[in-house]
Amino acid sequence: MKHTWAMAIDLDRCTGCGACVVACNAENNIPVIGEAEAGKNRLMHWIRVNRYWEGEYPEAQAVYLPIPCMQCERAPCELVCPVYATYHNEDGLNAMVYNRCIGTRYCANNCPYSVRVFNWYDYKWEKPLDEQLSPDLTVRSRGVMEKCTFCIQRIRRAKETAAEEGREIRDGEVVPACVQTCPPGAMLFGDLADPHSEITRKLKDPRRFRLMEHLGTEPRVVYLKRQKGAGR
Amino acid sequence: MLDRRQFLKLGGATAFATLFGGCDKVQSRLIPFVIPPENYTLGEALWYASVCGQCPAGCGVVVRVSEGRAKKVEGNPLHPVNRGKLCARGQAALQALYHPERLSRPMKLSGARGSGAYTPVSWEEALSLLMGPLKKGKAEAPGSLLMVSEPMRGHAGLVAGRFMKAFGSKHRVAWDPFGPDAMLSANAAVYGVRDLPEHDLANARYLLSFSGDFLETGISPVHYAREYGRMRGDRETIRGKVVHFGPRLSMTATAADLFLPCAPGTEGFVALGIAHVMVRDRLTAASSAAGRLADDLGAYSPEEVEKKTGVHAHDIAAVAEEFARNQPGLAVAGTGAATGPDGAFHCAAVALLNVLAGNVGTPGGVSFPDRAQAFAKYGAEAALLAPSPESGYGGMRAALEKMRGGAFRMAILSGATNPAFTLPPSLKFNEALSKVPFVVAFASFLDETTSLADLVLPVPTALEAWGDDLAPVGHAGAITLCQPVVEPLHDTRSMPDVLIAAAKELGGEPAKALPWSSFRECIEKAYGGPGGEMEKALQRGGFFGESSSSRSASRTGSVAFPKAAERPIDGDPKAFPLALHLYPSLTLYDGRGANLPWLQEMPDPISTAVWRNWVEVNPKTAAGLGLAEGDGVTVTSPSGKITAHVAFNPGIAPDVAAMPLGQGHTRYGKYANGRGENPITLLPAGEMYALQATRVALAKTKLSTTLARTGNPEGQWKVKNMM
Amino acid sequence: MSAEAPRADDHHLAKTDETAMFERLSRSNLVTTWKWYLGVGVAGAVLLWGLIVFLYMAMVGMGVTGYNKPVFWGLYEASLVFWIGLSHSGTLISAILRLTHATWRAPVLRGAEAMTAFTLMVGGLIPIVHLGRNWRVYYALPYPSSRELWPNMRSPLMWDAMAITTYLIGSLTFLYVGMIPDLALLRDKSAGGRRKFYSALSLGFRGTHAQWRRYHVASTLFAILIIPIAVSVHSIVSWDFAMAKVPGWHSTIFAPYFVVGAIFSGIAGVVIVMAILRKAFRLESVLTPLHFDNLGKLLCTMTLLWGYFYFTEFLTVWYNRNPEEWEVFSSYAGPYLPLFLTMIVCNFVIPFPMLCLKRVRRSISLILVPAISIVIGMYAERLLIVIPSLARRNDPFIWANYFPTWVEFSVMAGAAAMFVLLYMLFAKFFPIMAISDIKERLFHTADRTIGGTTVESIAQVEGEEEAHA
Repeated sequence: MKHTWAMAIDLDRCTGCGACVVACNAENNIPVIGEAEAGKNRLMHWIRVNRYWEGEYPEAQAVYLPIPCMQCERAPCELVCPVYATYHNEDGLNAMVYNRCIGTRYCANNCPYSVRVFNWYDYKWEKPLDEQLSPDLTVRSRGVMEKCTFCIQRIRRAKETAAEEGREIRDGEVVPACVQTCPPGAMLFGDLADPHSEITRKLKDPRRFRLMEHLGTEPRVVYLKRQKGAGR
Repeated sequence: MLDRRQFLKLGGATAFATLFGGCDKVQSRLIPFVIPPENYTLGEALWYASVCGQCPAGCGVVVRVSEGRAKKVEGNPLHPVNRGKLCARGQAALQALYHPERLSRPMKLSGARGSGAYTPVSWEEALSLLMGPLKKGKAEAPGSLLMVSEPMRGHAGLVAGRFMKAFGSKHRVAWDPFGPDAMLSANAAVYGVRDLPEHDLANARYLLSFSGDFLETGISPVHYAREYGRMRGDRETIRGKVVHFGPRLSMTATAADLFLPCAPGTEGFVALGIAHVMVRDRLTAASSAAGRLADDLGAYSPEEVEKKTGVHAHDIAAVAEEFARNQPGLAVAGTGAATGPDGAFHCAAVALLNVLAGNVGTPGGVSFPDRAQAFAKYGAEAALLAPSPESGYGGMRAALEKMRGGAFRMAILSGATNPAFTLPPSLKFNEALSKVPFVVAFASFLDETTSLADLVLPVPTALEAWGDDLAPVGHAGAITLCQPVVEPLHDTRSMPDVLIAAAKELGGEPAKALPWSSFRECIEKAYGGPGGEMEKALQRGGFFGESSSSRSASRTGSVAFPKAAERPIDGDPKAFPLALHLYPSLTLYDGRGANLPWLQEMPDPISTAVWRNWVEVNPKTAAGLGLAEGDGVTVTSPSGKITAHVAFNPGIAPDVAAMPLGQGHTRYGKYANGRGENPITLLPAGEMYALQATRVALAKTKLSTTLARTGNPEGQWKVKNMM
Repeated sequence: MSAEAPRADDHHLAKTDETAMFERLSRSNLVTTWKWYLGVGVAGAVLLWGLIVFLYMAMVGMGVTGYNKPVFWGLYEASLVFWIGLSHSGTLISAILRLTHATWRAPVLRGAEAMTAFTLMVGGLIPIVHLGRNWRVYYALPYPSSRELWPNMRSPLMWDAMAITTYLIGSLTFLYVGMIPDLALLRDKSAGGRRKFYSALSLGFRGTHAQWRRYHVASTLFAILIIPIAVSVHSIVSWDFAMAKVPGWHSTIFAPYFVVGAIFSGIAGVVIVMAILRKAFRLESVLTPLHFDNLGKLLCTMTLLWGYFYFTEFLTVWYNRNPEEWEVFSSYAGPYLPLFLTMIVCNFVIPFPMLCLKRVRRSISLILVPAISIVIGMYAERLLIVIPSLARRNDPFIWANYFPTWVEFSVMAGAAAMFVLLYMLFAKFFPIMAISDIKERLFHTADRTIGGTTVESIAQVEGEEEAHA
């Protein structure tokens, strides 16, 4: 069965707490780069929580915008890679093949959401912190791009389990680490190809919008607008 | 299916990999597969349930273990507190487990006290070093033993409590900088229950937050964040509204629909102002209580409250009416209110609103679920299994006084609350401790406190130890069980284990009080042992759903009106124009998370800073002081002076400077040390641990460091470009 | 070097002048001064340093540069565009001048064509330098490999690689074909190892009528073919940017704008190189103020064209005020103001008024001022195209500025040194003046004895000789 994985992020629920960021760190072997490198804007996080300010005191407000890879249907990053290191996989995700990547960084330039990160160095895990590294995915070497994969290792695992048990993947059976941990339940993940999935239902919400829709990238991450006031 | 061609290809690749892959690294250890370790299948992950030990909230976790190593911590979906969710700190528990600087062996002091020079010793030697003074103390002056810990829960508390009692010392104090002491006494006064209530956010229509930090660093952030999400989006036609009062636009404040800034340490007055309007305009559900409080509330008209707090009278009136008309509604006080100059008063004033709205014991209101009935069998000792002891700041101060007087011959330190770091230096914890001849510390890391000990005994982390726990809120009566999810990484022994062994060696009373061979046996005996119900519970992570979520009716009829005590604010407003607001850091909490790289590198949601602390000021205030974002400043209070970088917060009151706690370590390993200075330094050694009762002055200075932030100072204002 | 006895098939004209003229034009090949050794030594040392730093970067990681997120491209990529832009001088000028039979072209041709070849060699290496995994550059080569993966032809980088390669091969061939008669001449005038070297390179050119005819057909044909290649190369280089979804890059005007900018900087480069050659190899008699005057006129036209294109690009964004693009242009008034001012002043404010004056154009030392300023201005322009667009990406939250570290500066200094070194070696071992073209011109003027309209360059050589006599 073909899947159309999608993510919904309800900004009415997002509190900006950053649990998704650290969950992603743990799930995806994301290196810690230290203060000096962080000061050079080189954080390796695959999901970031943008915090914008709006208004002036005392009406000032913050707007949180968690930004994982949008897994665009018409992904600008895929076009420009000269070596097919990033490609559209069978589920419509933008997959990265680290071994193919030669590090032109063109994909990162062409990503309007700036979700791609580059391995500026060979990052090290001081022993025994490396014991935590997930065996499901590689530790990337210097010179390659990486980005959020919608936790493709989890999707693969769920597919294998489902295949072993001779069934389809159940709705909610597979979620990326960020969605799994999100304390206020602001994130939802599922298969749009399944007409009965929760996400299919959720995305009928009139609050939905996608980032930079005018660019025609057709992102797979859909946001739900924040609401004001009580009631609906 | 492999065809011949593919087989050859794969074979070739394997040969290649074997040949050249082998050049890289010599395989040092082979996994013996003749007799594989228990539950060990290569490539197959197992999930073990336990409890997250990163903060006192007591969330249940499941840990993914692959090839004998913990890979990922997730919330336990069955656990009533967090229902599968987990915060950033909980996710980082793995880094505490596999931390390169974890103590792996017992260490004895080899230099001067506090020099940090230790030599590793064997457990035998360590235990003999421990038993010497212990035996001598028991024989000569049993009352000279002091135990300083964080509030302990479950059977670990029982073991520690019984040990101290059997030893003959009543000097057991607990220290938790954000402990619920103020909240507990307020609840006792207002609800008549000395316990932490359950706030049913999910069913509330209106939430008043008074410096609430229930989404970030409160009593149970994951629990309440989940509840908050449900409050906002789980009901088809109702979306709960949140109004936040506080000195600073905090993470929780940004989640609110309406943020009304008030001066630090005045939250209670705002609450009383709202209560005043409710009573005046007959908007209360509990009319009998309202009648009795009317006189007391007379002094808190919105106009009066405006003078004290800076919140406009018409806002107070409007919010009061909206709150009263949108029931069920809730009022919650946060750490900011509880650590004010008179925390108990503020918390009580806030709690009063719940009583006036008639929301005690109702859905969408405040309730007090029964604590675990399983503990009832201990009778009077059950208190030891609740967070114990309940001494707090006052107990700590008293103990320090006695230490200085030379009352203690030996001190046992345990827990992550690090008093040498979290108590104001003016309280002189270090100096007092130096008066104790023998100090033993149970710890996973050397920090400012443990590095003052003569003997440091390494303990397992929460993911490697046996235990049980009762969460402070959201527990629904459930008991969480902890089990080692991985083989202990180092040669560690838990404090209960060591106490049990010590009691055995002491013989007599202590041996009788702790009759087990190990703490594991203690837990197994308590919960029916292996094989039975406990095994099932271990798989699930604890005993959930057995006890109904019964809401005990509480005393709401004779509410004592909270009296505000006049507490002097430290510092002359002329010399120190800004009120200092200290708050726990979202990631580092009281500082215990500062040695975990994941947490250091997680951008703060408000300042977006990483790896260093900062002082938040209003851009207008900063402009007046000639400060730009990122500039270095000295922060001076009557009690101390530190430096920090400026971060703008457009939602902080202009006369407030706020700093997160948690940074400024000097002896907590390379990830934590030298990341700014500790704002606790600015506090006086007052009667209260008041984080909101000091004034400061800021002055521009040159710093050699820079503050790394993820948000572009200009771009962070351009949300319009994105949405 | 001893002048050989003139061969029978040498042209009948000016037989006595031939040796003198050859010696004057081939001074670079004949005399080796200590300055040349010094120049080669310095350039070689800088190149070596650049190489060492490049290796350091490759071993440690791109982190030693100033790159960050979102500025994933910076000085390297701007330099790439700059060098490829410089390359447009030579071949394009030479081809156009050949086709239009501009009579003054002869002394300029070879130096300009050589510049094309070497700037392309330098520019063509930068895409390899900028890779995160340089050692895997062959992944982008279209060859049947065990990975069973063809490069992604949808990527502008692939177009780019192909365009640059084509242009490099084309311009090398163009350079070489044009050089054959001169190499034959050098063969005839040299002995020993050099003679072997030149005879191998001259491909047996003996100056027969048939050979000359083929030579003329070939060079004309190449001149025609190289023009579309040159135009397409810089169009494609511009598409590296214009095809991307980056505000400030995504613009239809980029292709012609880049071509114009390339020719602009290219001509300025030619002026500088010519002035240096003239001085270094005492070619005053061949490279006359007249040549510089003509190049100056071209340069003046290009200044105006460039200004027009820049204004047009700016105008559409200015009028439209698409917020994302406007942020990029706004940053020109912010952190990128110095760069922006450098560009405007160096590309327009200085050169335009100066180049309008005949006095400036005819004075070699004065025309160097606008020429050098244009090269600086165009470098600034390339930086301004690459960096602010990335530094002000669509998501304002992650905006970040970029400043290169010593690593980028060192590697790019090495690149410049490589160009200088290649050029110096070329000038030493190959005919830097198109001797046969000059001679041809001489021949033509000599045949038509009346000065009339064709006095121009050649007449002055003659005039000088008369003065000598």
